[in-house]
Amino acid sequence: MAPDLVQLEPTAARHWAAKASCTALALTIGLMLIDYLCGPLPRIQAFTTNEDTANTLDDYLRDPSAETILVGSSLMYRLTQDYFSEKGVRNIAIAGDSPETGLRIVANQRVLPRTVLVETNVLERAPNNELVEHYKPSPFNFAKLAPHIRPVRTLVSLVYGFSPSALRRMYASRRGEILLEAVPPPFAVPAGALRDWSNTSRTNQIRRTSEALSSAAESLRARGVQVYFVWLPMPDAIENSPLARHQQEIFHRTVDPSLPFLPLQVDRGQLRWPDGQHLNERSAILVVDAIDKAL
Amino acid sequence: MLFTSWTFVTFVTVIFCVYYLPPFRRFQVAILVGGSIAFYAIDQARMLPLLILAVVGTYLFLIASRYVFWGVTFNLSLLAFFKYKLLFIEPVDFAAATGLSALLALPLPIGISFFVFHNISLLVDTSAKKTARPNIWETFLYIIFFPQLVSGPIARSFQFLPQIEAKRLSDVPLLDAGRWLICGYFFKLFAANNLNQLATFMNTPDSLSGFDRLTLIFIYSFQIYSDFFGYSAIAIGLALLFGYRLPINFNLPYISASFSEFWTRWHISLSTWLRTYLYIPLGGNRRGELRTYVNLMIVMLLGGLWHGAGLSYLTWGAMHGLLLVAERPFLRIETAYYQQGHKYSQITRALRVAVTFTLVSLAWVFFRFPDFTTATGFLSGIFHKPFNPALPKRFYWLVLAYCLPAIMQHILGDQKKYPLLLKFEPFVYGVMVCLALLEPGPAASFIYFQF
Repeated sequence: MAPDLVQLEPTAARHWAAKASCTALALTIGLMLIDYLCGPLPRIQAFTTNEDTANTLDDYLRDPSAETILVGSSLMYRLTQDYFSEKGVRNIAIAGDSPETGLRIVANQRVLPRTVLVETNVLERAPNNELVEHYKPSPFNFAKLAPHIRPVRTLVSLVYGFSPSALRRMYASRRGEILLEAVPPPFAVPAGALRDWSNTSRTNQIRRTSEALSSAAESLRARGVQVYFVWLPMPDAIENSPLARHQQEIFHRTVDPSLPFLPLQVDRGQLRWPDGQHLNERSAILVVDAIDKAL
Repeated sequence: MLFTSWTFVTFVTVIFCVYYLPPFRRFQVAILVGGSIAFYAIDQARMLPLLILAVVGTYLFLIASRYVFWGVTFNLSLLAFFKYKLLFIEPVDFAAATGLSALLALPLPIGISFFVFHNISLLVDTSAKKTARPNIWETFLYIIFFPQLVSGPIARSFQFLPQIEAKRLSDVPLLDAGRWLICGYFFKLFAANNLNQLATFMNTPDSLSGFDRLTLIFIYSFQIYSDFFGYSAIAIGLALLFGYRLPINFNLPYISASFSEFWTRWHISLSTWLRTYLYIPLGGNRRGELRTYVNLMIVMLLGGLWHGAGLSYLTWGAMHGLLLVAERPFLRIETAYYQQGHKYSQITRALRVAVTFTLVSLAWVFFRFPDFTTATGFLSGIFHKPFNPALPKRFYWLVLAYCLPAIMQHILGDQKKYPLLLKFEPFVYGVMVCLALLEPGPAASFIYFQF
């Protein structure tokens, strides 16, 4: 007793292969062209952080001509770009990563924005060099030519959640109004967050990140870009935590004092951080408003 | 080296080109053996000596044909040591281990379950004179041929060894190979990898409703099929490129109307192996009804443990064993019923297919969660959690889209029945290539690589 061996089927090989290859080529090139000429096409909401990062950076690379670019970690990620009053704002903050990654990706591009805003709350993380390399423009700009279209997901997102940018911004503005009318709920910093911000052992990494941010900012400034550093508001207990103080102390000691820090005027009593660190959507709108005014 | 990586594509291209060069025709077996060793070493160079030891050991027992029993014992000991040692000892860090503890700290060799079964098949079939005794190169090629080294299909020696001869490029069934490769890559990249991403919701079960859990179980059912069918199709296609025919491993398993039928359609090379070398030697169904039940349970329990040392795999095997035992009396009654001239109803068959598929899918939960408590917790949540769907609608559309290849394959069955479909076959394959290129899911290892 033995399993059957695979059967071979006599077919006119050349015709078959020609038809299959032509179909595959025509479809692939056709869809890539549609994506290239009409893109970015609607995209389904990412299921994972990595996918979301890739989507954000792919979109940025396809159109790096933003007026203002925000870089940072998951804290900056919360500041949805549709809430900014100016249309030319692009938020490429990467959740779970260092602000250095985003800043270096921006610094590597040929087309630069007028302003870059760099979050300085999270400095103890090493940059994702792989991501920086991946999004470095090559002479042939393969990343730009690489297919971003995903036929099935594009089709599904056309049916659900298709929102051209104007519609999306209108929706965001209406949602923002509703959220701002609400009264912020009571709030306390969870013990876990306090624990996370009490560890000051990563001094070397904080210094390295500060130096890298300073150097990338200098190089961007030399190319005519206005770079601002910013400290996003956090609960008092976290802002006064050992890690926060330690980071800011090293940062200010390392970074060239001529590089400006963007001061934010925001009513802190209105802000809430559900997990003790990340702004909720309502608070993010208030901070976006403060950044708008400060810029 | 993942079959889906560009490194692997380059590796196969180089081997393929060298293999068919006329000056190297005399060395074709050696080229494949060398390539297979390199293929293994790239992923797990540290365990390469063990692979060679297993093959050389088997060959020595093959020469001393009186010691076949000891050859089988040698191979089973290897499998038992590496698969089940962690049941008895704590995991040890290999870098810090010395002497005997270094031996105990060795990781699970990739593909051990498969190359050990090849070894046993070779030993038993050669001693039973089903095949002539191969030389050392042929032995190596049969056991470590890279398309089937890591996860099968488990070819029988008397099927594979006679195929070892000089191969010419003009004899290669390029179209068949291409069809299998396109099909395999499409199922893996488009269907399995995307379903794998959707199935990650299973890792956070607390937020899932009963309906979502059930949906995710079916998603995993299609994922494991697409993944393993995809792998097997790629292996068959690759083997054809080098002039070898491997056994088919799947025959539309989810249209099975009974569990015994399921095991003639799912992982056919393993189920045939277990039937030939375990079930039949145990007496099969020739020693009375009770003994048949015991034999079925033994085979399925060992089949479960073959996948891994854990309560989850044992439970999966036990579930299949019990289902096979439970359905047996009904199958007998059914056979008698139809022998009396009653017509076979398609509705009855559809219902039976649905029941078989649902129960097989529920059993897969023990594959998805090797931790027994997590698996049972996930299953019990179907009944304890609210049943309303909580995942967004677009999620279900994606599920349907990525399950569609397997669903269509099962519904259409034998394509030869549909002349129109055959006419459009090349265009369908073209679309498959396009979707595999433009919409592959996030890269993920083949599920069966862990076994």
